[in-house]
Amino acid sequence: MSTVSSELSEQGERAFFGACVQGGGEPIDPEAYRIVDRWIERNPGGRERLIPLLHAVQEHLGYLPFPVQEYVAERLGLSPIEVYGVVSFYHFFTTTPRGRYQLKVCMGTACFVNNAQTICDVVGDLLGIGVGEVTEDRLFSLEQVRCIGACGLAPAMMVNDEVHGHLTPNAIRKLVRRLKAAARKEREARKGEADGENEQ
Amino acid sequence: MDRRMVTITVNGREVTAPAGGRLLDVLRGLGLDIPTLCHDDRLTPYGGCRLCVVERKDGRGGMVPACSTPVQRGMVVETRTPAVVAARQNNLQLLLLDHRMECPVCERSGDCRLQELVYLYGTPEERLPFERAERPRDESSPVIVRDPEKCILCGKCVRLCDEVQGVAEIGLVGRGLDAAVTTLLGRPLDCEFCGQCVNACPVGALIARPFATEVPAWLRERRTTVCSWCSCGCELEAELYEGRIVRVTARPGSEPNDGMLCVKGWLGWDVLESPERLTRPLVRREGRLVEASWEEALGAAAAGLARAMETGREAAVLATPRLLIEDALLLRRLMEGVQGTARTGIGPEAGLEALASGVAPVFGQPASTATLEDVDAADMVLVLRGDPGRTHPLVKNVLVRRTRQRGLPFALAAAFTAGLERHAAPFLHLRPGTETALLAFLGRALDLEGRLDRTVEGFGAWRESVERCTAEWAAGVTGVPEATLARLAEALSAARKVSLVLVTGRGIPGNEAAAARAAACLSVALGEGSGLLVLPEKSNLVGCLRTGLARDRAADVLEAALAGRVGWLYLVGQDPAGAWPRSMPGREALESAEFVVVQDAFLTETARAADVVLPAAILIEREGTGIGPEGTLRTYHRIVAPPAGVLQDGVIVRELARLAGVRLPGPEIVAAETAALAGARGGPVRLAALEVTVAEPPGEGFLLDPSPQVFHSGSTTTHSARLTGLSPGIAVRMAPADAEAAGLGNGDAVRLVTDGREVLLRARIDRRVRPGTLLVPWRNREDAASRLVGEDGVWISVQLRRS
Repeated sequence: MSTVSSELSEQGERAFFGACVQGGGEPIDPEAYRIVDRWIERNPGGRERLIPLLHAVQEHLGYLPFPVQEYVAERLGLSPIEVYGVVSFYHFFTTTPRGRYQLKVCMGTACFVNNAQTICDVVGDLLGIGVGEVTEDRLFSLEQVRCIGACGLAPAMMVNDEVHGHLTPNAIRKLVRRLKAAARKEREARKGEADGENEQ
Repeated sequence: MDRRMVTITVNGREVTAPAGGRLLDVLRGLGLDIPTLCHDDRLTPYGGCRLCVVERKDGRGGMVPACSTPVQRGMVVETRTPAVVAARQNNLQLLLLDHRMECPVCERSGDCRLQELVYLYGTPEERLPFERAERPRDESSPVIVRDPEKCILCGKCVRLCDEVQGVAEIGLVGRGLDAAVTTLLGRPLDCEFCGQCVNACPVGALIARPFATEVPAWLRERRTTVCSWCSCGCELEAELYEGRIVRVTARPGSEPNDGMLCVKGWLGWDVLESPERLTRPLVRREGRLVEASWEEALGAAAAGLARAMETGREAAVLATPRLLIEDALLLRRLMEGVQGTARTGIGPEAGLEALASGVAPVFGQPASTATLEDVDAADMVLVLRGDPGRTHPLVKNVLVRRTRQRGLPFALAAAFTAGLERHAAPFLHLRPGTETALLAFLGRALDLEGRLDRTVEGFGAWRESVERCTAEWAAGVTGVPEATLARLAEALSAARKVSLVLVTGRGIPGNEAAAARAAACLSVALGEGSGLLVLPEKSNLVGCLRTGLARDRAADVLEAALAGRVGWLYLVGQDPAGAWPRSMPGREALESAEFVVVQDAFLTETARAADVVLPAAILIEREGTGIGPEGTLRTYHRIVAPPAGVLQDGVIVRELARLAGVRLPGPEIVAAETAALAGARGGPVRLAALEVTVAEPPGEGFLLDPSPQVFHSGSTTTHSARLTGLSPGIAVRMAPADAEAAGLGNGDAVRLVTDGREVLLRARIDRRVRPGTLLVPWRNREDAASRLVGEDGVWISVQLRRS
């Protein structure tokens, strides 16, 4: 499965379905489709599997790219617009890419009075993104959230499912460095694996 | 399903109603006007608009929506309490909040359900402090304009597109005030343009561009007739102003289509006003066709006939099966009166051989044994040879509804499809023309299961003829995996009532008569309750067969003409030179015939070669009777007058008869004869041995798919600017992967080569096309599939070359 660049349809001519206008037609990690395949294999059933499957995909990719939604539709015997209807209905699902590390700065009362806004600004400046945005390398995305229930640790931030508290600008710099290094390692490990596969 | 009747109380009155039935139906059955906006009897209950609320006084529920509340014993319901009225008013007010009200200039004014209900109920005086959201109109489609500012989100369009049309091109996206009906990613509509959504829209949110009119609803005259594009025979309602069609719809509840139409029945009527219509007769003078009066033209035709008779040659007619029964009866009488041995036939039409030589020997008559209702209700349906969505859209709707709404499966066995395979269970992707082999396999497999009635006459010989057709053999011939074949056999074996549906259409590969015979045999052997529905292409093929007009085969008429024996050839709506397969020497036969009279609406290739051309009325310009595939009479009403100077076939035939000195029966006698042709007529049923021939596997190359396409496929549709505008045009459509492999882009020129024949076409990439298949419209043109197809029934593989 590959994305095909969009062709502008002339008046009265049929639009070309394969065109997946997705963030300028950027390619989707083929792993995304394998996630769908594997999940469907493990979970027999019918169209009622849509929501759990979307959850599984978003858990892995951080978002639901349209080509993957179309693939989900095909695999479950639904139409792509039905899938998108569901995706757009639930606030939890998102079609915009999130980072590998989703940073959620807590803006709850306790954090707020402990300079949460400054923490948020520092993170944003450090990564060069604003709230609701994602870094170009897709490593980090930044969001503001309501109280995460870690008031004792204020100011706090979540990195994916992990809470980081008592944040200072310095602590944030260290954290970001650590995350970048971890991501680099991960990438290299995956590359080695892929090379190994190719050699076989 | 029989439901237990229970007693409920409605507005203080005790009534009986089926337990579990829809409360709305019961209330409406009592004559109560329960308002709805999102409800449609053709769809599963939705409960979205909350206008059908009624008050339950039995202590359970309070306000309930009648559309999605099942009837329960002892229910007490009030439909007119102040609380009910107030609830409806409030709901209407909420709808109006986000509705751009421009009723005085809205296209649906006077025909708008929302307007009607606001008039009936009014809204509360208090205004709610909300601003209407601004949403741009979607004008990207050449046909359907969507106006989200008028949309009330009833979802009827979305649900029809999904549950009935099986396309699901549009969906409800977003939530709350942001919710909108849209396509995926807001792409331009890329659908079948059936118009179901537009016709069901209760407000002015969906407007058909061709029908965007400044004529308000109350000035339009509504007339009902039967659509005559294909053999489905849908009832349509045309709205006219100054004698011209300004809008076409269909009413839910209409027979047989329940408010459904296809793109042709909805939009195709601009053919009637095509500037290419013939409006004056033509006669050949000094080698050229020139305009003439009816008197001159008919005189010339009659003189040609007289000369043929004097010189001892034959008179022959080949007519279109769109001819209405009365006209066909007159035509047959004319020919009989002219010459006892005159040849009369209808063209090489899709469905003719299936009925006349396929099923007739088995059923004892050239007719179907299953109706569309049977197909709707059968435990299992097997559709053979094609996707009815391309040829018989109403049948597609029936199949989609039974599976999407009631969970009743159907199987589809075809080489070339157009989306119905997504709903089929199982779908058998056959090699072209291998339906007979599939049916032979099924016969053997079902008999081994003990599912068949062995007492039918001829069973032994039939059974013996399919003995070698094992699953392994069938898989090899059809290309369908054994497991899928077994799944189909199992499903059929388990079903009590089975309907087989045989699709026919010009260009569908394979021997339709052989497949029809095999299907007929299987349907008989499946016993009581099972049957076969043969779908001919043209509207009145069954009717024309019953008039006895199809006495001679078109090939025999051509042969007689080529041998120089035909002195007068009368072609009514037939175009041998332009539209017939190239394997039939239509053009040569025209040249060999001494005198050729063509009766048609357009100057066809054949008409160009004629001695006299007579302009005829077509489609819904005609008054008369037809017979559908199931044997039922249909009354066609002339709802628009043909262009001035154009006459209906029967009128022309009467004039010719007068000049030829042939006495024709009067209208009363013709009407009586017509009525006598209706009804199903059984003959002795007998199974016949099948001849299962296995086509030679094709050489290397692509499969050519020349079967009909829903937007337009034939000669008449060519003259509809709306239909041709929607169709991809004369192009070869191919799967994205194949285009990529061949290094082709949209619009690139390619040559298709097969067996010494060749056409040059533009490439068009289409995700609907299966890899390995090239889709080429037939068209009566030199640059389309009709040029590539040799003999019908041949499995064609073509080479693709860059040009």
